Amino acid sequence: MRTVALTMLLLAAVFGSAHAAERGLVTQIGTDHVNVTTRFAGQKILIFGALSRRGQILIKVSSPAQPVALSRKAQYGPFWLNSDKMVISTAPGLIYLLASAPVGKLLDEAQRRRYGLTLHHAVAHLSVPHVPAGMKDWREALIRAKRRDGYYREDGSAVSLVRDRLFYASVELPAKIPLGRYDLEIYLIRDGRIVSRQLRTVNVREVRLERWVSDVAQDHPWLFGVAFTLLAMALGLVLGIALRRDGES
Amino acid sequence: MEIFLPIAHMDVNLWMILLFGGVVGLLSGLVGVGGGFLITPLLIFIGVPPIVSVATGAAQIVGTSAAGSYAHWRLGNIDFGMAIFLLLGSWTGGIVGVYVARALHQGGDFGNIVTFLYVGLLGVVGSSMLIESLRAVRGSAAAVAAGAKGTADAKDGGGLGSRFVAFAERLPLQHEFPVSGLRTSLLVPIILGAAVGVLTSLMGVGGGFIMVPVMIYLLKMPTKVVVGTSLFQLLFTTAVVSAMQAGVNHAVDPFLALLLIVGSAIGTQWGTRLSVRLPAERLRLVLALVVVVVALKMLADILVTPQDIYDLSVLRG
Repeated sequence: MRTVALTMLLLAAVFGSAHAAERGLVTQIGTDHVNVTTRFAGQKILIFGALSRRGQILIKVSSPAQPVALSRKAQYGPFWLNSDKMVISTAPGLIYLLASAPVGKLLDEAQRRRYGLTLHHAVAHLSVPHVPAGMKDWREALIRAKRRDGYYREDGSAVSLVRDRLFYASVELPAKIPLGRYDLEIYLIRDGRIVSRQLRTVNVREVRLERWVSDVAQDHPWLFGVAFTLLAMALGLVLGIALRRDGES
Repeated sequence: MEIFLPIAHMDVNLWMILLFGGVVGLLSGLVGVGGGFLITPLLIFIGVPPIVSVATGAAQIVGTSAAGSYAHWRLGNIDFGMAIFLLLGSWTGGIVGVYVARALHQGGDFGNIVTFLYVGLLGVVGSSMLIESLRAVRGSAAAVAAGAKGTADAKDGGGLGSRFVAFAERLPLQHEFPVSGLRTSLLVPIILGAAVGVLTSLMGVGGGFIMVPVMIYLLKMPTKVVVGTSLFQLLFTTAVVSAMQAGVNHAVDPFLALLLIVGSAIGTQWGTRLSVRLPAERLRLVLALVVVVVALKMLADILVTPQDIYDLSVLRG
């Protein structure tokens, strides 16, 4: 993989087909689209490039927003019950902060906030119409849950540098990901300052039956409900007759 | 093999769902009860959202009761007069139940209510089955004692039944049901149906476990008409509830329901064949134990301190 990448990179550099160098940064990605099929089990996307001068690389991968529900349990007597629930209609689906050194060492707090380069800042601007009284810490809870499932990640060793001139990183997308346009922001950082930034996009599109079913069920719920119920009835009848079932239930 | 459930929005193992359907079908073939009250808790255990579990449970019963209803219809075991009034009640109850489910779901309380309903229902059903089957297993050694007990029980039921009939005779809207050999108030099937319909919407059960004893012991309908009529009523109640749950709550997962229907159709076949060879009392004991264990597991899940008090679920996308 590495050899292929570097060869491609060299060719790209020679023929100038890679993204135009912006202040010392040349980047390329292995693919610009991801097809999510029924057998989709995640995919690796290779990001690589060259730096004209010594520096560090930070890559932010972000997916389109998705609606999520966050519920909180509380103890009532001996029971742990769901007590509050809130819907966050535009939660970031996936955020990866991948770098060649720990992100905290590359940039100071102010810079990271300005460019949205922490998980906390990525959710800080989210607003929800109503926050239940017991859920003031919902932002932390969201980050915690998303980290646990591997959708939010901060990794200071995910980008490799080769002799301070070349970099590459492989981004692993999980099997269940939001669809749409993913932004790959690639930052070149030198002495605690961002000196160059490039934006790449990857289109994640779904080509599977599940999507179609879920669209129909959402957009035409009544049609779907009636048609599916009739289908269930027919299937039960056919199976019952085929298996010579005679009246027991 | 993992498959993605588009409405539950999660990955499940295809074989595990088929197995769930199969086990519940097997039990119902062996013991002769519908298995709706086991499917919903099993789905909740593997992480299917409660509203989807309940709605899909109703859709699954549509599939599993279709063939039986058809068979009873051909045998002439359905009292359509009774069924129409039962359905008037259960459709009303079911429709109200679906909107109650929606309100509870939007408030975030649906999971809690379902858990308590199930702990209560399975606790009562399971422990009474357990007591009854323990008695039967012990009683088969001393058949005489069991026989005496049995007649005493029957007399008890008879007493309650005749008091109920006397009460029902005073209600308005008296109506003749010739197929069942019964004259009673229209309010009786309508109210009975309504109660069962609400349970279908809130718990994803068919309600045969309430309907059948009421018809046999209180209304004194002939047993074969009871089985046919309750199955027919149950089919069209779950059908309306299933369509409503999809229409109002977007909660019926088609893949999940289809797998459960296929699994339980196969399981029921095995169960029916095996039941001829296996001792009935022991089987009822096994089922009673399963029901009690499921109830205890549901109870334990709300008693144990959760790892994280927050829970995240992706709604769409």
